[in-house]
Amino acid sequence: MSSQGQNNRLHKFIDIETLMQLKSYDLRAKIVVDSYLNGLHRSPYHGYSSRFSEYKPYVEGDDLRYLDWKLYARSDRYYIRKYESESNVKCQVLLDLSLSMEFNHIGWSKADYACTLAATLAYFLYGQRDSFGLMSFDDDILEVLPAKSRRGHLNHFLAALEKRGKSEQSQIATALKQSVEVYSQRGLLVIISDMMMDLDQLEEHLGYLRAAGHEIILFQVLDPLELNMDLEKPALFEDMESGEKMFINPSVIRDEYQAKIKDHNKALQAICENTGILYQSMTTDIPLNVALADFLRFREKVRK
Amino acid sequence: MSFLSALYLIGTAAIAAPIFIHMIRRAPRDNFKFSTLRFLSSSPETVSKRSKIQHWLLLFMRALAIILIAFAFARPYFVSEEKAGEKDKRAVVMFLVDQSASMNRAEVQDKLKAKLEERLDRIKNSDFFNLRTFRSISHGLIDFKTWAGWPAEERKSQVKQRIQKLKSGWEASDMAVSFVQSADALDRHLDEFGGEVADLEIFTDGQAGKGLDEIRSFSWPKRVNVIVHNIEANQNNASVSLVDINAENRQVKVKVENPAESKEVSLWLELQNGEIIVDKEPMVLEPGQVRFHVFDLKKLPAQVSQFTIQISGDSESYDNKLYCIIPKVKKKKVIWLGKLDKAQKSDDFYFNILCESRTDLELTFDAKALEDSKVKAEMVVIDRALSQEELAPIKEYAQDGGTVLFLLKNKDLSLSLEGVAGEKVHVTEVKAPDYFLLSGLRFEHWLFQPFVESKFKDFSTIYFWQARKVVLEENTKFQSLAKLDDDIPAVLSKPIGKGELIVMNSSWGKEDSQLALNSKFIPFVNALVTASTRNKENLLHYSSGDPRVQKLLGKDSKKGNAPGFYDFKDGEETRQLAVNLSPAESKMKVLENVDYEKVGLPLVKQSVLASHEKSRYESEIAAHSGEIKNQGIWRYLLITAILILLAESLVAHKTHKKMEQAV
Repeated sequence: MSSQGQNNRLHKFIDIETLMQLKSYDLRAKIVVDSYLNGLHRSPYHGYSSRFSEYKPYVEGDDLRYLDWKLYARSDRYYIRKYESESNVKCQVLLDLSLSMEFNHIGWSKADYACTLAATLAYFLYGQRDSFGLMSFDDDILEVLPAKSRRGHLNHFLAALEKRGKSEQSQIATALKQSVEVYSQRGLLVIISDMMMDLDQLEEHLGYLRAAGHEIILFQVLDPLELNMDLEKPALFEDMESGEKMFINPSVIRDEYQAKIKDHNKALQAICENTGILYQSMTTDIPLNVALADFLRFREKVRK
Repeated sequence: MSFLSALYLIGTAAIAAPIFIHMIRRAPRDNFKFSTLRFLSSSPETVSKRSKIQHWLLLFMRALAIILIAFAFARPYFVSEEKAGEKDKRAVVMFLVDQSASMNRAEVQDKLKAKLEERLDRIKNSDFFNLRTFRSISHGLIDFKTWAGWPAEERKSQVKQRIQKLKSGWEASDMAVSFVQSADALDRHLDEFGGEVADLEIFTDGQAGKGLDEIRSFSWPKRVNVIVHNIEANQNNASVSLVDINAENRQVKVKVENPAESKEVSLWLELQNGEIIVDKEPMVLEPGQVRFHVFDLKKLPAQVSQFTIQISGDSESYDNKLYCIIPKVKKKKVIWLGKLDKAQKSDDFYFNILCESRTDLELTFDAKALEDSKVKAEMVVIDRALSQEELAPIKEYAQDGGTVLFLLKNKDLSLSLEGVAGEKVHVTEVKAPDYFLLSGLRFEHWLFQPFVESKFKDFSTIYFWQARKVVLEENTKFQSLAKLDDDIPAVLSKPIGKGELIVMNSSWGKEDSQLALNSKFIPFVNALVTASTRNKENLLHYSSGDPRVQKLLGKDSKKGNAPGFYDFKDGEETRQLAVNLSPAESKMKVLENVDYEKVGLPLVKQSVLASHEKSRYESEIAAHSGEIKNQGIWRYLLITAILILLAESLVAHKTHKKMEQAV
C-alpha cells in the first residue's frame, strides 16, 4: 500500500491525547469531523432542503410533498424538485457539566471530553445545515440555546460550553423536565453525562420525552479509572460534588466497586432499552470519531 | 579512562529523582479527589512507620543503580597510545547539491564549492560516496560505482574537479521530490553495502521553491539521516512577474514583490524593447510589499510583439528580467454548414445575431473553409444533409480536437449523423401535445458547466415544441446530456478522437423551442464555442524547466530552460514563446531546521554534528581497534546495576510487608 494510503488510514482515528491538548473546541471539532469525513464521498442521493438540484418528472411513488405546485400551475406538469443536501434535523444536546464531570485522571476531564463531543456533533450538524441547540445543566439549568443552524449560532454554542457548573450534585431530572416543556417540536436529543446519579426517576422522565416523539441517544462519559479503579495506593478520597472525605484502600475495595458500578450501568442500560433510547457508554480515552460514527448510525436508524 | 558517549554521564543527575521521591514520601497521606463516593466504601486507615535506616539503604541502592546504568551507557574504555588500525567502519554518504535558479545569486556558487570541499575532506577514501544535484528532480553526478572505481587516493581530487564544474540551472527547485528520490536511492544502497546508517548531506541556499510538504506523504527511511548545510545568500532581491497582457488594449500588468527579508526599498521598473528603454517607473517598495503596475504597450512600435520588463535597484540580477510576448488578437471562428435564412428565424438566424453583437466571434457559411487548413475553427455546426465528400474533413476536424454541433432538425438528417458519428441511429419525429420541458441535465459535462450553480439550474422556463427521438445501438458511445419528457434524449454527446460530437435533437430555433429567447442561450453558446480551445496548449509564456517547452522546441534542444525568447515551428508557421523564472524561485524566505523537522526529516543539527562526527570517529576506533582494552566494562556495569535493582526490589518488598503488618 502506498504511503499516502497509510496516511489516510491514520487520519481515520485522531490521537485523542493530541486532540485534547488543543484549547479551542472549534478546532477540536473541526479536526474530528474533517478526519471522519476524509475520504467519504458526497452522497449521490438527493434530499430535501435548501439547495435546488434539478427538476425530475413525477413518477408514481414519489413523495407528493416535494411536488412543485407552482410549476404545475404554470405548466400543467407534475415535477419533483430535487435538492443537494439532506433533510433538516433538529438536534438538542443535553450536557451534564456538574462537578463530578470535572474528574480528571488521564490528563483531561470528563467535562472537557463531553464538551468536545458536543462541539463535534454541533460542527457536524452545522456542516449538514441541520439545526442544533444546547441545554447544559448541573442540578439546575446552566445554559439554554434554541436549535438553529447559522454560523453565528455555532459560535454561541461553543462559547456556551465554557460555562461550567458549581453545584454540589448533578440532577438530570431538572434538565429532562425542562426539555419536555421547552422542546415541544419533535427532534433528536443527545444526552451527554456520566450518569453518576440516582436512577430512580430517570425512566419516567425519559419516557415523557419519548412520548413527546423525541429520538434520544445517551452518551455516558466515564473516566477509565471510574470503571476499573486501577489505583494502587491507599488515599483519602474526596467527593468532588459533596466534598465528603473517606479513606479508601483501592486494592481492598476494587472488586466490590467494580461490581457496583457494573450494576449501576446495567440498570442504566435496562432503562434505555425499556424506553427505546440508544445507550452508548464511552471512556474518555476513546477517539471521538467513534462517537460521531455511533451518532450517524443512530441518525440513519431514526430516519428509516 | 575515556568514554565513547560521555554525554550519557549527564544521566547520573537522575539520582535526584529517588532523593526527591524519598522526601515527598514523608507526606502523611495522599488526598485524591474522586467524582463520587456513591459506589465506594471506606477502608480501615493504615498507619505507616518507617525506619530511617531502611530508607537510606533503599535510597543508596537506587542511586547506585542509576549511576551504574549512566556509566554503562557512557561506554567507558581504556585507549592505548597506538593508533587504530585501518579497519575503520565505512560510512555511506550522499551529497545532494541544490542547483536551482536561486543558486544563481552572487557568491553563492563560490561559497557552495568551498563548503562542498570542506565536507568532502571529512570523507574517508574508504567510505561509500555519492554526489547528486537537484533542481526540479535530482540527477546523479558521481554514483557509488564510479567513486569505488577510482583509485582510493584519487577519489577526492576527482570529486573536487567535478565540484568546480558545477553550474546552477534556471528551474525551480522541488526539494520534496529530490529529497525523496535521494533518500530512496540511499536506502536501497545501504542494503547493498551492509551499512546501518547513511548520511544525506544537503547543500542548499534554503530557498523553498515548491516546498517540502509532499515529503509528509512519504515514509522517510529510518536509516537515512539528514544533514543540511545552508549556504548563505543575499536576501535583497525584488522580483517581477507577469499578471496579464491585454492584447486588444495593448496593456501589460505586472506584479512587483519586495520580500520581507530585503533591505532595499528604491527600485526602477523599465519597459524595454530589446535594449531600448521605452518607459520607466520609479517605485518605493517597503520590505514585504507587493505592487501591481500597468505599462501602456502603445508606447512600443506597433509591429513589436515581444518586450521585456526589467527591475533595477536591487542587488540580485538573476530574476530581474521578465520576457513577454503580446498575443495576437484572434477571432473565434464558427463554420456553419447550412444557409442563413433571416426570414425563418431558425437556429442560424439567432446564432448570427449573437455573432454580430460580439467582436470575438466570426461566423462563416462557407463550407470550403473547413478544408482550408489555415482556417482553424472553434466549432462546426451542421444543420443540413452532408455529401460524402464533406464527411471526411468534418471527421478529420473532430479527430483533431474540434467540436462538431449537429442540429438534428429533421429525420432526413439521420444518414449524415450516422456518417459523422460512425454508428447506426434510428430517428423519428416527435411532437409534443403542448410542449416538452428539459430535465435530467448532466451538469458535470462542460456544456452545462456555466449552469452548475444552484440558482442557474432551473430549465423549467424553456418550452420545446418538437424533437427528434434518436434510438441508438446497444453498445453506443453516445451519452445523454439532457432529456425531454417521456425520456426523449434532448442533447447527446460522443467523443470522436480528441474532439467531441454534440447532437441537439431539438434546437433553439423557433420551430423547435424558445431556447434562443431564454437568458440561458448566450452562456450555452459561449460554452460551445470555447469548448474546443479548452484543452489546447496555446500558451505563450512558460516557466523554466517546463517540459512542454522542450517538446515545442524539439527533443535535441537543451536550451529552453534559461529565461528568454525562443522560436519554434508550429506546422509551417514559426512562432515564439517566452520562458521566465518560476516566481517561487524569487521568494527569499529561508527554510529553518524546524521546517525540515515538521515534515518528518530526521535532521542532524549543525550544533551536534561536530560531536556526532567526533563520537562516530571515536566509536569506530573503540569498536574496531584490537588495542582498546576492557571492551566489556559497560556489560559488567549493567549486570551489577541489575543485581542491585533486584536486591532493591527485595528490600522494598520486605519494607512494604513490614509496614502492612504494622498497620
